[in-house]
Amino acid sequence: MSNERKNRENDPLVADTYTALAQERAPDRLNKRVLRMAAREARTPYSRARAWMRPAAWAATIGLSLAIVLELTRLPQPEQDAVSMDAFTPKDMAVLREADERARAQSGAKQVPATPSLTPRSDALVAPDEEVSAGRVNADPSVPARSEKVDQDRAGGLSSRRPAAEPVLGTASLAATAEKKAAESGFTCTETARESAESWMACIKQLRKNGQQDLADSEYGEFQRIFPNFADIDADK
Amino acid sequence: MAASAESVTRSATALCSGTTLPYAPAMGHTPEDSALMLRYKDGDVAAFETLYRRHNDPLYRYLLRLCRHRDTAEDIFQDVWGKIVKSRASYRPTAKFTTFLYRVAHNCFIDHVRRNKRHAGNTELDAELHSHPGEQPDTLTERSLAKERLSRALLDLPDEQRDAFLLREEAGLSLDEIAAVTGSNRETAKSRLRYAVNKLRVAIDEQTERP
Repeated sequence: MSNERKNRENDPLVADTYTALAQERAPDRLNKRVLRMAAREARTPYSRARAWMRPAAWAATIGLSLAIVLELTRLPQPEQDAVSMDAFTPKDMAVLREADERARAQSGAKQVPATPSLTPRSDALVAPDEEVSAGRVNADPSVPARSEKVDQDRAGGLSSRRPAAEPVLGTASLAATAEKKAAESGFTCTETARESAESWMACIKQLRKNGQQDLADSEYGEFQRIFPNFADIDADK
Repeated sequence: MAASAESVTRSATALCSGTTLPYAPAMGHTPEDSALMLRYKDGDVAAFETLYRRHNDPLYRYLLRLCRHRDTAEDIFQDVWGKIVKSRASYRPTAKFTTFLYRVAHNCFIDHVRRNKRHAGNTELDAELHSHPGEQPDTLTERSLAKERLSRALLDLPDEQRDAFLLREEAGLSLDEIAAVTGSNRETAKSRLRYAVNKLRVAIDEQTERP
């Protein structure tokens, strides 16, 4: 029954007869009209736009991406030194100081007699290279004029410093930067002030006198580590 | 599966008889049809011309026999291709292009019938299709008579049955595709096609037996 039905849906005689019957073709004028219409429609502004729209979109995307990447690379980078110096512990500071001293000893430079600075911030920010450039290293310590000039420069703070000179001296420069960071984080006595126990203690006392108790405490902790046998009755007050 | 088997059988029959199926170019070329349409969507007019040449004659015959009026068929034919052209921007190859094309044609025909109530009874094509210029009735061969009887019977079929038969013969659509084009279910399409084929077969047989 199903085969019979299937045959009835697809009768070969009917199909063949119909195929023989249906020989008409679409008139040429109709074909031309349709094809002309299709060609006309294909030339619409929309189609013309499609031809360049996609490449233009790609080009714009790539250009924008490059611009963003370039812009990101031009952004100011965070100071590498600041990141590394922030991680220094007082122990590291001591090591750096020793390295600094060794460097100075090797170069045969004369040290300026230690005088405790009473302006901790400005003294702490002075780098050894500045001392060199100011003539303190090789200059006669008895000549006060130059030393005073350097002190004036120190008092000018960060703005009066020359940043380009900082990375030139290697380990010494690193120690100076460490000093700077240390000053920012609370260690405000200078290298020269720390050269002798007395001058360092004087610096600590001055800090206490100025009301900078926290800084004085941290300085005193460091002082006790370096000079464990030094006794001063007033220092820990 | 059954539909593809029928197609293969039909193609084999056509090859043996030396005739060409009117829908043969569309069969098995659906991806190319879709690709051509997509190329036309990107502005390739030559692709559209290839596509058009594949389908213009079967579509024309489909509409000619569905409308039974040449001018109306030509109007709808143009309308159909106009809609295909305009729909290229939104064209998505989700189905066979042939199904898409005949769905548009079917809808255009339905719109035309709704707009023009005089369609019923307009059988201008009758005389045109049945005339055999330069050929006397007594010289007509048996095959010519069969064709004439088939043509008359085809024009006498209800629109739905004729539609189903023409979709099968001209477009080579399967039952599912006929159902999709006519907006009916598979069983309805199958029933319409069976009735149409039975009536046409009876018409051919009757005329053959009469002499």
